[in-house]
Amino acid sequence: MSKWMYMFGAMLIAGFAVLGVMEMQSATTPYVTTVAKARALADKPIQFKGAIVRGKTSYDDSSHELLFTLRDDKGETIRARYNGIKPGNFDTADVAVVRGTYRDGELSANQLLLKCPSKYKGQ
Amino acid sequence: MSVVHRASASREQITSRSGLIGYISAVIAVLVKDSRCELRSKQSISAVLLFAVTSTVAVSFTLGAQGQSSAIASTLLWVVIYFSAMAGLSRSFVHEVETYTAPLLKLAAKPNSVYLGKLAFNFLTLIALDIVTVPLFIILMGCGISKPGLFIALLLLGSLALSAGATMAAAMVSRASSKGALFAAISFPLLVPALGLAISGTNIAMGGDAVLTAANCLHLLAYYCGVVITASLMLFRFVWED
Amino acid sequence: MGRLKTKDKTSAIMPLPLQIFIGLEIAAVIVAAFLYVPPARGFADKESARIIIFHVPCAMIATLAYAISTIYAIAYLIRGNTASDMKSAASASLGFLFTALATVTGMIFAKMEWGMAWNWDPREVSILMLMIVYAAYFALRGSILNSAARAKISSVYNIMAGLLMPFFIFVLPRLVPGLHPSNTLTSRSGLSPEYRIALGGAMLGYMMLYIWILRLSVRISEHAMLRRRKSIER
Repeated sequence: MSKWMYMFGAMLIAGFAVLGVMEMQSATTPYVTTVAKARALADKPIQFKGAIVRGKTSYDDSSHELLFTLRDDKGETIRARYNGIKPGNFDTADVAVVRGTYRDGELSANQLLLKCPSKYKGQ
Repeated sequence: MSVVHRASASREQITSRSGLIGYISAVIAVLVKDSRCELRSKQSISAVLLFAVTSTVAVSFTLGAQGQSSAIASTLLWVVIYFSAMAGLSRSFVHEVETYTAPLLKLAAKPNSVYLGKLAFNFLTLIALDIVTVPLFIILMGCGISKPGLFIALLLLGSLALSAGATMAAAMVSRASSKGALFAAISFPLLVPALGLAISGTNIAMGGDAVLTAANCLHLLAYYCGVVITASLMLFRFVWED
Repeated sequence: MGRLKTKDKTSAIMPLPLQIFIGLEIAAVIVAAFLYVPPARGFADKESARIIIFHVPCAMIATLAYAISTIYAIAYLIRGNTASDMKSAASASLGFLFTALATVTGMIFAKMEWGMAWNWDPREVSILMLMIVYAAYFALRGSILNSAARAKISSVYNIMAGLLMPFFIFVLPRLVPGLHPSNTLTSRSGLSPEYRIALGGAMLGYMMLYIWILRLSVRISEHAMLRRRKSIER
């Protein structure tokens, strides 16, 4: 077998390893879409997906703390706290995925991922 | 000797074609040769089946009547399959060395063709084992399968993973002197991740709960197979060639 | 393989000043572990925490030894020189020793701290798997008589097990919650300065001891092989 086949094989193995690690990471942060489930998994790292409720967002420029409300699949709302710079498209995004933990009745977020609106309407 | 006859007939078949078709036909030729030898003597499959059936019965003697939890049932099922594999899968290479047909095979086909053929043969042996053992186990242990599709997928992937690790270990052990115990000792570290994943997944398929989700188990088993089979394809010739 | 003098000075393996330094340094670490390092807060037996000064470096060197053994195994398969295979085997046997030491110190600490010697914590499982791999590796080596075949087959096994070990050592502990603390070494407040110094000193001492013993055992294997060749030639 030529050297290139070995290289290719090694890259394949590395690829599988990377996929495996990613799989493990998603295993440790389960995907949650209801507040009830988030409550059940309190103090454990989760990924919570919800719709951003407009009009209930507050952002403190100096301490970089973003407080907002998310609505889950069943219509229940939950308060979320994110420490960091407010993402530029926060006001236009409709769905957010929060990676963090459910603690003391609210979501404390380490990471905030915003999903852009799926329909691109003309302005 | 008819075995030599058959092997040399396949040799003409193999060396006459080249490229990918030749490669695949070599793999199939090895598989067919092994299957023919096996169906003639039925040594390996009978050892494997006998072991599996006796251990299933032994396990379910005390535990079957009480209706065990899914965690225990899934663990025992895979332990039975694993030890049956340890009992039977080493024959694929050890037999070649003991009956001195190995040098012929080394000349007749490329190493990777031999590996893939043996892998296919071991996989089919394990599938045959599963077909006999699993229904028996389910009936005797009285465990319910709440997700049959997942269960079958796990059996398939798990058997592939076990045969991938075991085939490589069998090749390594075929050149050693104390073959039986060494085979189980060597395969164990290689197969532990696969075993753990298969057990977790089967636990979920039987209605239990596990840290990993079913999708996780299936994906990770697939990646395990990918890693082991790719590594084996790269390294097999060092074990096989003198 | 190069000419070997029948009488090797030990200074060829490790220079004398370094030898003295290693001896003194490890002695200093042992003394420091008992006299300089304060008893730890929050542990069941406050004095028992001292064992981590020895336990953690042992475990790290065990993993390092296995990694080096796998690297030499790959080098052997690429180049085919027996020196690489000898180094691979030597590193593996040394790694086995460190793994055993790490397991024993860990079990002692677990017994003192949590009351049970073995807890199925993921890191404990990883060190157990490492022990099993080493044991299987040496069983395989011991049972193949042809030296070239032995080298090739054990190198292949080393690599295959080496591909799966990172799963146990790096992935599983992060996946399953266990008793081992996760951030003590890397975070700022995990270790008080005395512990940090003692731990660093033990790490350095063990590393240099590992290198020294490795070179020594490789040299011994080379001597044994040369003597075998000479007796065959006669």
